[in-house]
Amino acid sequence: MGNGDYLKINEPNIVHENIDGETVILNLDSGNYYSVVNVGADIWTYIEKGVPVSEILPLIRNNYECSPGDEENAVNSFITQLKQEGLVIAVEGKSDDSLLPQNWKDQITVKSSKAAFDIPVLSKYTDMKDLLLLDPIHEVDATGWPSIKPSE
Amino acid sequence: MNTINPGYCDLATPHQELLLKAALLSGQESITAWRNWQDSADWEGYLEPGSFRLLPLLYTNLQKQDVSDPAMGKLKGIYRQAWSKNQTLFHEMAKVVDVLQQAGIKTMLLKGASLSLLYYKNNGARPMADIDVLVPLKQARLTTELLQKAGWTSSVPLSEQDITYGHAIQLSNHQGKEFDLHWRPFNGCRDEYEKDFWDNALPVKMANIHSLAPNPTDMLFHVIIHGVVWNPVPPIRWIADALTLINSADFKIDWQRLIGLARKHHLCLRLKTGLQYLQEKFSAPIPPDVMMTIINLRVSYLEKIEYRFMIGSRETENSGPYAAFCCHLCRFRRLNAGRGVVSVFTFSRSLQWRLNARHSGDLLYKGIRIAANMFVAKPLQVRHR
Repeated sequence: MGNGDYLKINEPNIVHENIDGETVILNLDSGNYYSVVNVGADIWTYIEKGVPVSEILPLIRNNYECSPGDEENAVNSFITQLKQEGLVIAVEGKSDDSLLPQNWKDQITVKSSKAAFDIPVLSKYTDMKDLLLLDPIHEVDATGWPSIKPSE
Repeated sequence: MNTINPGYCDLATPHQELLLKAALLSGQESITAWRNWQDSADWEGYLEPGSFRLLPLLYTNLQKQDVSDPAMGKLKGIYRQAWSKNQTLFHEMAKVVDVLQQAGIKTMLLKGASLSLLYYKNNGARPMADIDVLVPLKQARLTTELLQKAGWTSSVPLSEQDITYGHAIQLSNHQGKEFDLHWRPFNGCRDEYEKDFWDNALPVKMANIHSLAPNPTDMLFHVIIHGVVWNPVPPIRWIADALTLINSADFKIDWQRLIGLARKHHLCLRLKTGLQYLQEKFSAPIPPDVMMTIINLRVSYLEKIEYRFMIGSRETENSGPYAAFCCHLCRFRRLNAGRGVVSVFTFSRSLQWRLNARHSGDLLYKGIRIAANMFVAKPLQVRHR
């Protein structure tokens, strides 16, 4: 994918919400549930706001303290994973610009201080049917549903 | 609550009120209520289902107040689960709504779906067990036929009497998914109200499908009349729903319309009880002149009997056959108000439907049983839907 290409959230079958800094994503067709935080949540926000793929890495470098070279592989690998899971789809810039927000620069804020870069992780939970039946008070750990309490 | 006097002492327990305040108020009031609620019971040990359904809203409100507490992790998880369940329901029901709209049948989302999408503006704060879809009365039959072809069936076939005297039916598919199909917005809703209800509806979008939602005033009316009733699961979330509607910055309640609806449908007592409670316990901003009008609304004897029946537990004396009969009479009157003289025959047909009587002889037999039961106080099975 060259400069000027975008990624688009694969709606309407993919729904997502940012809950207190964590992005939760649900694939309504497969029933898979995903969670991303920190760098991963920022990348998701950039995709949602229509940031070109070529601009994602510079934004990450502006917002996080990165070791040279490490962040590029991590970010590319994360984006590849999002595509493989069918959560985002590639959009050719010239043909589909009308589908994307044009004013992404107005919507993205650069953080006042840089945080430490951590490798973005796409946490995946399958078998939504069972997860939805889980008792979210007694069968989960302290971080809450869908993290199941380890068996004693 | 066994008195005709519409007291509100047990619309919610003091413990439930603490939770409601923690979930609905802002600033220190919310935080204090949250601490007191936590201190007054071990909610992680046991929590009754009515309170449990408020926890996603509690999470969103505590998060707004920047509350830091070890319990926030679990509350966040409860919110995540409610969000996921709601999204799954929206996705499933959008397919149903699409089938109907493709066939030219208008749809309206009642209760939780519209509240969540339009009024809470949050897909996780207001959990739902299922979704309620309203179609025009004249298209109820066509709707069930279409949905049957799409794999949605009811446990008993929908009869003409069900359409004439009832208001909704539960449909399910082979995957065990369920939803409620309504052809009247609520039980005993006057048919004359239908056009007005549809004409004043607002657009709403569910999973990329456009449908309609009741306007805020009609929604508030429904929330209160459905909330101020007895239910095995304490229906306290009506309080959160009603306050969300009344306090909405984007929508205004048409109080005169609300009063008019209560008068037309002989539901003044439930409206009065609900609004008085909201104002006195949660300082709901109801204009004083409106409150005065509502307090002075005339309430008929039949409505009082119906109120007793609706508000009392089904195990109390108020659930007996006499109360059930009055309740049916009240709903029948509501359905037929303004139609001039309604024949005894029409009433007996509706009673036949209510009592599941197969024919007039069966109705007579069941009528005698009702009379006998009045003396021996044995409950008779009647339709509560």
